Amino acid sequence: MIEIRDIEKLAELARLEVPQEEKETLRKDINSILQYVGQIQDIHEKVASIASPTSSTQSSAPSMVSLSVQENPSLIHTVLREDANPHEANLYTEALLREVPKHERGYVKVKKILHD
Amino acid sequence: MIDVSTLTISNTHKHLTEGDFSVRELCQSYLDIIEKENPQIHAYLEVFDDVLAHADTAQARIDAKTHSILTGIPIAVKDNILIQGKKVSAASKILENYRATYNSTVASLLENEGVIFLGRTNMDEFAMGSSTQTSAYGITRNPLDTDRVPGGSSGGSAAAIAMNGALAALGSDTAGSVRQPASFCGCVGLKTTYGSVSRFGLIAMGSSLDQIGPLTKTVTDAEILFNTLRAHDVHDSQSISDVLYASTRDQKKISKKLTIGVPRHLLETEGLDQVVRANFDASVEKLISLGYEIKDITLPHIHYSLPTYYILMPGEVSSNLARFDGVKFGLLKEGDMLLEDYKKTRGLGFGKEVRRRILLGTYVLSTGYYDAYYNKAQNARHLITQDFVDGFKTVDSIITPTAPTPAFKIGEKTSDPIQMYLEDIFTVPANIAGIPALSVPSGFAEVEGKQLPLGLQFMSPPCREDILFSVGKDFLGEENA
Repeated sequence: MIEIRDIEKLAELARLEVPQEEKETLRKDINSILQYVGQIQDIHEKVASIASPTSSTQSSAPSMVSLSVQENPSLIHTVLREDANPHEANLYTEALLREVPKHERGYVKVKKILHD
Repeated sequence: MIDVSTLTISNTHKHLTEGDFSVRELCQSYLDIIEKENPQIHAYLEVFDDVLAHADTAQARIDAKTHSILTGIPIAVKDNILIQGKKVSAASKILENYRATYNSTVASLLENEGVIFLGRTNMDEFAMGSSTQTSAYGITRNPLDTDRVPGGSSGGSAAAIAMNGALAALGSDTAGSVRQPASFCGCVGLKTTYGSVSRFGLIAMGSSLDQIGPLTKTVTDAEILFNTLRAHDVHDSQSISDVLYASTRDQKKISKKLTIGVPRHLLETEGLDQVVRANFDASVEKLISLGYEIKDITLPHIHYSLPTYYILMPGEVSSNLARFDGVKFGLLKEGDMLLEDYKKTRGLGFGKEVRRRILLGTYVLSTGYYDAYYNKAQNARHLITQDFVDGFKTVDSIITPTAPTPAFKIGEKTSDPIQMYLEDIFTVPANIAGIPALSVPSGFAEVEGKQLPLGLQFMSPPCREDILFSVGKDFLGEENA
């Protein structure tokens, strides 16, 4: 069972401020969800891993598409582009900085990270 | 004044090219309806101010005969799909004033065809919900019974069509978020094959599950939009190559009459409304009378779909939403130090359901619990996927009701997350397995004197949307081209 202090630990890990009055509801909700999803513990069958539809390592989504790729390895290809042909410098800087909450002289501005 | 209630993409195209009305007149009709209906329904969070300007550009293309079937078609776009320069918030406070710095691939594809974007539609915050009640900007009402929800998370998109405020709409579907609102609002909704439509410029929720799909009035319209949206995109690492798509589709041409599988054991699900069950049985009878062979099938692990989903999805949510830190874009709430900035920004910017899923995801991915939850769920995902592989060896399509209930009352199910999650029981397996699925209107349930729409869901093997369109059109009595 999840306790209030577990909720506080998770919130700390997730960099998320949780209002004091919400912690108990969250504890109850998360416990009931964990109880519900806990039924997958009944599964004891082991399965071999399935190749991703792409050679990307980001996802191991075992979709049915990836199964058909597995049957035909010639369809596996790299999805990463060559590290070449960069776009012109500063092309997107202005547009992106417009959405940055705090910036200065073309830099994103944050509070001091290292303290004395 | 144009009677837009009878319009579809296909017949509107005919009217536009034959000069029955102009694109501007068409768009003005929609803007008038939105102005009248939206204050009560709240399908749109924002109506764009450049609709008529784009209408004139589209008209010029029609006049010059450089148009396509989608030129001048006014559609609504879910508030998690980026259109360059427009606000896009995922119905969250954390992105309240954010403007898209680039175009999503789907927006570019539709703009190239001359589609008109009417505005952005309401949704559950970050697409987390099944009723559009978790939006930070207020609820959306179901136009067919304003005491009820439109479904979700693409509830605004479905309601926009149902109130005659758009000819079609884009939504996103992670567990049923296109199909269930389509079912609640009497529309057609397509969840596309995983990897078939680019997610570049879609605000991510669960990246191994998310897909963009159309909501429309007819299956023919869904097919028209799908044919434009489906394209390989180097900007989405999961995008299916054209070669693979074609090779999968060539495996089997559609035979005269298809075999349809019914997983009857799934209908014993607790919480399946009797009126939905009766409607489903009537749909099966209808398919038999249309000449389809019906076959009972078993998907032995399918009851693990929802628990699997509620482990994988929160895990992916906790990673995907880590990018909202008050540094790069969106809301910033400052504290004494950088760590406090993060916590305050995220604590105040995210709503309750989003916070719940981030914490749950952090838990299932943490050392010590990873094997018990996340790895188990990955295992379950393989087994469920294999169930479909086996099932599709004997049938061409598998049917279920789209949702276990008709549209429910506003405020209902909000206090118990599990009750809300059960809304996805029939739709989530398609996301788990990455297969396409189509919800079509299958009739009505009379509840408290109101006629509430119900939906029938067809699923097919990956890349076989053609099967869904064929049987869907047949079911609705649309002409099969």
